[in-house]
Amino acid sequence: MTSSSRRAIGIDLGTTNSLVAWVTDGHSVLGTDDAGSSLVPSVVFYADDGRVLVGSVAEQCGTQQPERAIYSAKRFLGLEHSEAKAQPLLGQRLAEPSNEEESRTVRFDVGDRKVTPTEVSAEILRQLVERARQPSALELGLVVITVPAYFDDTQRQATRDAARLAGLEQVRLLNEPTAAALAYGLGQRTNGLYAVYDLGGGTFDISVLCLEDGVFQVKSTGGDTALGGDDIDKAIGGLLLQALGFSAELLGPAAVRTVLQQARALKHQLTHKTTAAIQLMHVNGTETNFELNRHQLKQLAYPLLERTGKTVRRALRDANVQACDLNGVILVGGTTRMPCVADFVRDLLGQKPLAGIDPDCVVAQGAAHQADLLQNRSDSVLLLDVLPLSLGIETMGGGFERLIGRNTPVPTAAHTVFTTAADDQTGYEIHVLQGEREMACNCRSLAKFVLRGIPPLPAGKARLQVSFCVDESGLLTVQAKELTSAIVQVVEVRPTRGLSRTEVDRMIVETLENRETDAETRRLTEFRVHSRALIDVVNQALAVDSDLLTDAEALEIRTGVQRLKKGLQSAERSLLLELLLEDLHSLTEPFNERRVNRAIMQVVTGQDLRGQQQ
Amino acid sequence: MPDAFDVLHIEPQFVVDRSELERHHRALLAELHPSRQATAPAPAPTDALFAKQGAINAAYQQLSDPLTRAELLLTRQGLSLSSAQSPELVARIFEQRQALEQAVSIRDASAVSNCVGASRARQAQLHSALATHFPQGAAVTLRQTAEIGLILQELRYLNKLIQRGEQALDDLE
Amino acid sequence: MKYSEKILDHNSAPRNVGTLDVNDPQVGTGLVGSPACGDVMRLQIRVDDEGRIEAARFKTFGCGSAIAASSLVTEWVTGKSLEAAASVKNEAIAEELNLPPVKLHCSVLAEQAIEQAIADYRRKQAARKADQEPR
Repeated sequence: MTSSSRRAIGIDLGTTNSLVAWVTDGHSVLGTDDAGSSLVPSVVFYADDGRVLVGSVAEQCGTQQPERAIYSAKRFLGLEHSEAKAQPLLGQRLAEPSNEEESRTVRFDVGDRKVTPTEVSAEILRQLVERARQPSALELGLVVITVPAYFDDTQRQATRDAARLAGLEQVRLLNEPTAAALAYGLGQRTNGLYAVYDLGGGTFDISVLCLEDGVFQVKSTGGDTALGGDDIDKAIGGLLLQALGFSAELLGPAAVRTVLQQARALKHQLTHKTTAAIQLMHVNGTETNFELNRHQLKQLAYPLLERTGKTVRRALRDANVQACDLNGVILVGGTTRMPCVADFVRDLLGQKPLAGIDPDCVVAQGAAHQADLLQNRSDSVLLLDVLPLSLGIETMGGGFERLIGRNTPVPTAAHTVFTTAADDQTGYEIHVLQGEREMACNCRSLAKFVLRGIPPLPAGKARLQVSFCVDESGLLTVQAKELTSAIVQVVEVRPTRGLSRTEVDRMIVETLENRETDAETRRLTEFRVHSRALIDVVNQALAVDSDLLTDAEALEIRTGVQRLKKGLQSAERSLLLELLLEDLHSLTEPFNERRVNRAIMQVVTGQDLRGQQQ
Repeated sequence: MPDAFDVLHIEPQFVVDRSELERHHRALLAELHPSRQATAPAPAPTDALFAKQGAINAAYQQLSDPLTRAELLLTRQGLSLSSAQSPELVARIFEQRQALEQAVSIRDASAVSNCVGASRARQAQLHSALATHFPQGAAVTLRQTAEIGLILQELRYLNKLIQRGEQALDDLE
Repeated sequence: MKYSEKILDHNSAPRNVGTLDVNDPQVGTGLVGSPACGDVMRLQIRVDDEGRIEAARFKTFGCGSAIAASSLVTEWVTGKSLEAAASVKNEAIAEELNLPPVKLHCSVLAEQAIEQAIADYRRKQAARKADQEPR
């Protein structure tokens, strides 16, 4: 099947609304429902009969049974339970973790089950993909999903996991501001410097881009993944509660949700009118009129907008540009529809923002174009993005040592050499973090692992090389190698936040069991899970016992691993994947035998045959 | 072994045309992009492609900073820097760091900002001094390597100071 | 206390941060820098008439590893003779020890600083003796 007969799609997985789009005949088309609406509210409803509903219908059910509906799940992607509790009360019921592993993610309580933000997002993705499939029943091609530019590695991984749970393997992540610039740029094609101010329901991003001769290059990016229109709703909600004489702590999540919905309705009204009002029904039966005008709204929004201003100024500094150098400003996200926001940006950057594309749809359209470009190899446009946050490790003393600085163009890699603090130190404790602060405790923790088996040396003599590789989607892989010994040690990376790979795989299998999927899809998914596991196991074995193989044998096995990896990415038929799996299994059988023999010998003679005394 | 100058096709000298550097960087990445490769594999980049892209980005980073650019030029000429330190320089930097920490501890944003500004000005001075040590087309003398070494050391200390100052300003804002 | 606990203890509550009078003839000062990581450290010792270090103070900027190392060194040298202090070494440990990595240049900074402080003190003492020589 040629690539042009597969549909490449772009998905804007938003905090409040999500969209899907694709490119036909050079222009983007938005996926719509029967009523012609392109926005899918990012709401998921878990009915007590086991059905899962997404979108407007979920919203409707949510008004009847609020405790079964989840809103704004994106704000909780990649967060730990403790961080979620600190988020503004959005009417969510959080399930208390029962052990340490569970506390690494957020779990929502929807009555008879607990769901993670990843699973909720997966449901939304499934719905969007269905929309894209319908019009002409084309096979699904490459999928581009947008993320806030300022999402850290764990949040990006969580988005990837959600895609995997939804059955999507060929996925690329794209930063939202870059997507918006792409949507605008393709139409306008004027070289210059642009700023994208993206204020959505839950996140804020600012990116400074340079467009030159068909190349979009991000110069700098900044943002806040816990700042958005939801916070304005909360501020208005506070006023409503005051008028009602209630305090937020005493209300249950359902009531909070109702208040927030009213707040949002008022906010929307004020986009078109200068005053808005609703009737409040008090407990004693009396009714009062609650009024809000644009001026009051502006005052409520101001602290939030000031925070975005600080981030914008820093992004301009990082890009080495001043506001007057900008050729255009692009507004993205429903919240920028508010007149006070548009005014604020105009004053901040000294020019009227570009109009022309619906701020709700522009990101999805940009994603669709990118998906089309990547799949069908159109030669017109190229996107070059950057790393939004510095990446590094924790060093002795609790300091944060940067290995890759923020706004470095991606893909990128860095290698730094460290040493030991004490004589005969036997292991390194490596804590990987993201952030801009001096102390590790103030940065975002990504993963922790221990590198064991360092040969005994005086303090300061050992040499540890830590390598970071960041791909185009902004995702990080870490390698740690002890240089003075000939042995490469195996490293176990435990994510400090979010779902581990095994947890995601387990969810995928569970989902299969619960859904009515056809047999072929089930087989394909199962083989994918097995393939990933086998690749891990073989790589680990190679790292530790490769001396048991000749160079030729090792090369053969590595090639087999590569083939299986490629198969994982592109196989659409379970049979192909099954064959590749079997191939690798038989390739590695003799290797396994030798490893088992060595292990037995170890036990018998009490010596690690890799050369270390036990 | 091709170094950053070779990778980006930039004339190996200290003074570099910023816009030329950017153009070459963009053009080289554009060539490699999967959407422009006739024989490109499936959308996910291969390890080899990733390595090439990474090398181009790394070269760009190296040539963008006058400090790393100077170090690279010395390496090209087969010269190495001595690690000899100047007690006077260390003492001066100690005073400056102390002044910065003092300003931070009393939350004096404008004093911190002044420290950062003064350091940047000093960096600009040192960059100009570096330019005189790398005359167009001529080789660097051994004696010069000692002076260059001290300039580079001071630039590194200043980098750290500025980094610390800007972090503090972010917190104080 | 186990060594690893000791190091962590010095990270969170470094001992002996401060300043001694640089003009005091009994005080030796070492001022070292690590251009590779951009950090600087000052380590001072006050030596009594018997040639024993009665107090040690350090001040360092950045380099958290150096802070912990300096803290340990100043604690270790206090009460020791100059000769003993000159051979600063980390204690050997017997148990499994997994510690965060240390930046290459920070690991030697503290040792260099103590060497310089001792040398400075000796230089000062030699100069004083020369002054006191009968003419």
